[in-house]
Amino acid sequence: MTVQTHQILAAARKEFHLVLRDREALATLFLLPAMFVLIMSLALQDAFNERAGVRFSMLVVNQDDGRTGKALLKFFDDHASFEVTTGDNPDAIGDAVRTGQYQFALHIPPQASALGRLRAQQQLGLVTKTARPQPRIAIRFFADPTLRADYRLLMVNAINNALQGAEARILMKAYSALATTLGAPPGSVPRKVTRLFQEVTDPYNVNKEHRDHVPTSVQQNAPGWGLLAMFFLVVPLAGTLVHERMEGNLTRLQTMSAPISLLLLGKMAPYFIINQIQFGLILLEGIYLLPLFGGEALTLGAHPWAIVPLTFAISFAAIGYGLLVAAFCRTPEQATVFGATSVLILGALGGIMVPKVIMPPTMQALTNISPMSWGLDGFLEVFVRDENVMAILDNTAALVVFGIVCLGTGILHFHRKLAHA
Amino acid sequence: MDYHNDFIAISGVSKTYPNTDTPAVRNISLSIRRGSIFGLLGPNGAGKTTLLSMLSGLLHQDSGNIVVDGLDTQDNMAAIKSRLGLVPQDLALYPSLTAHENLAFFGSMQGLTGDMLQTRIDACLRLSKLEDRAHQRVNSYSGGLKRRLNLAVGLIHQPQLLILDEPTVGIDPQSRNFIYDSLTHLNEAGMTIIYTTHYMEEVEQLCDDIAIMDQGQVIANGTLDELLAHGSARDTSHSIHLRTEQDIPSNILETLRRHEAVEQLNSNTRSLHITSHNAEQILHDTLELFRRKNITLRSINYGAANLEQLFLQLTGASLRD
Repeated sequence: MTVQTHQILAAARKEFHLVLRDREALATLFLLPAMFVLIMSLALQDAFNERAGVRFSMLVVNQDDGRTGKALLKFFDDHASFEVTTGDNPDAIGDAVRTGQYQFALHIPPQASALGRLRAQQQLGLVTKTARPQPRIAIRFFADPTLRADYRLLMVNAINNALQGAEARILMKAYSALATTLGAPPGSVPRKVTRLFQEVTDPYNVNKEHRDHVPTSVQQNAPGWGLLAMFFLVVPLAGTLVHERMEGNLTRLQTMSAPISLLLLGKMAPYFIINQIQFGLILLEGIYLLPLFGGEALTLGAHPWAIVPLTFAISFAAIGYGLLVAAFCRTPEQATVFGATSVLILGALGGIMVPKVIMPPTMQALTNISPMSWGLDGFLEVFVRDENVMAILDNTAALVVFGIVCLGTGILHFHRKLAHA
Repeated sequence: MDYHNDFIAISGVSKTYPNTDTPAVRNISLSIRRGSIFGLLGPNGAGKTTLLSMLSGLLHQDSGNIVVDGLDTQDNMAAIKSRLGLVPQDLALYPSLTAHENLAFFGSMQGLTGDMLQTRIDACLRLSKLEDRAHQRVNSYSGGLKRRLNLAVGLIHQPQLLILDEPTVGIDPQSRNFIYDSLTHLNEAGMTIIYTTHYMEEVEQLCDDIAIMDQGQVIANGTLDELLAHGSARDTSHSIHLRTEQDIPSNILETLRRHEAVEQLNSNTRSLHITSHNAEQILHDTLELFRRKNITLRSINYGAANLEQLFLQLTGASLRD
């Protein structure tokens, strides 16, 4: 082993000792992100999971004893997005929705089927024209005012869809009766017809196999918070480096045989390893621990090893950023506060805390300035779209370039500062 | 300059920092004898740190030459670095590491490996009397123990030249004496030592040669005797500095402290510095006490000025300002 190798190892060993004996740093690097992944993945599971969908609680008060009421009730009962409860008091519906007991409610009035039939017959002239015209039947719909507007709109469309089906059935019966009246032989007129157009369900698949290209909660949160945790190494790295500069350790080291670049290299190695352990533990948490708490397990896509170079690049970028912060901060406190705050801002900008998909277009465009966004996009490409290492090469390269720029600027400024210390 | 006897030869060295007009160091020429303890005195901003930084390779001079052990710092800094040890004023240690781990790290950075590294760690722990606490974290140490370790780190690679920048700031007298004794022993073993301090008594007790710096220049330079003689021509104050061959017993120190003629008394294991308004009387009584206890004198300085007074005369400012 050469003296230089020995010196790098000694610097790395020293840095490991410093970090491993700093409980706050360990909590920041390991415990906090693990908690975030667990909590956020579970909390946002339903919001992310399109297949399970958002389940709305719904109260249906059906006072109709005919087929229309039953058909409407069955429509919502069969729908995966609704948790239907039936009631019998139409006067209590308003309070139940207002107090948040139910998100939606539907009131089907008495005689809805019979009155609907009567109105159809009147319109087709199957009943005497002297009778008073039957008005349209009002199905009352209630919605929690705190719900998002697009959810309410979706619900209105769903109800109208169900009503159109009920209307079609009533009208078909009325036409059938009309045809019989006009002399069509009994049995020759069908009482119902099948649908004319194929029902539109899922969007047309552009992928080679059927798969939803929307990340699950854990696919978004595990790499997202993992990324943030990796960048949080800025806090101990910059803190110890500024401390070393302030306490004269670096001055002393400058008078020694080892060049300062070896010290920095030795300093980078432990943080690089710590980053890989951090991310590995978070992936394991997503895969094995989260399901134990009722969450969905993390799936890594068809090419899971594609994330290895990306993770290395993220670590390099984070270390570079840490050195840059250390170079420009005067005190360890400054490094800690600025380092942590800037990482949080980069995280928020990068779609870690608020997923990019729900950001407005301007903010989505703004996310591209954050290296965390480059990293997260890369992970999502691999996890969600089954992409391979080549597909995320630009993300990886961007992170490496970011790291080089930060490291270069940091080292230059560091040397300048030491020369004037 | 005598390149055989001089370990360090500084000639015509100047340094001006960027974006400043006033030079931090102006045309300094100085020689430091091999195996001597050299005291560098001066108020804040005098240029001491700049001079030491150039000497230890942290800064490059704008002009002039610095030669250490026959090697020019401009061309041979790597070789010079292996010969020098720096003990900065700050406790340049890692508080969450143990003394052993600190020494191992800095030893490795000096290029020591394997058995040699372990041997030097053991020697430095022994020298700093930290063997029993070698595996305790430094943040549990007292200020004095930290200072000892700070010194030990500077010695890890057995340098020929030790540069100490105010190594006794903020420590108890016991630890200070420990450091004085350690330095005396190291010097006796042949190590050249450069010692900067604000404490005149330290320089008077320890140093063979002294340079006083002010405003980037050396304003006085010579042995302690030469400087004190220079001062006594101008001032009527009295000071006595005695060095002994044996340790000075504590009962002698107590007796002298109670002496009505003593204004101030500073002592080390084998040295004594007394300021008095009746120096002849106190000198007589001290020698009598030494005679009774069979203490042999190594040297004696008697003058009407001490370094502090000399410094005041030369610069018009107190060193501790």
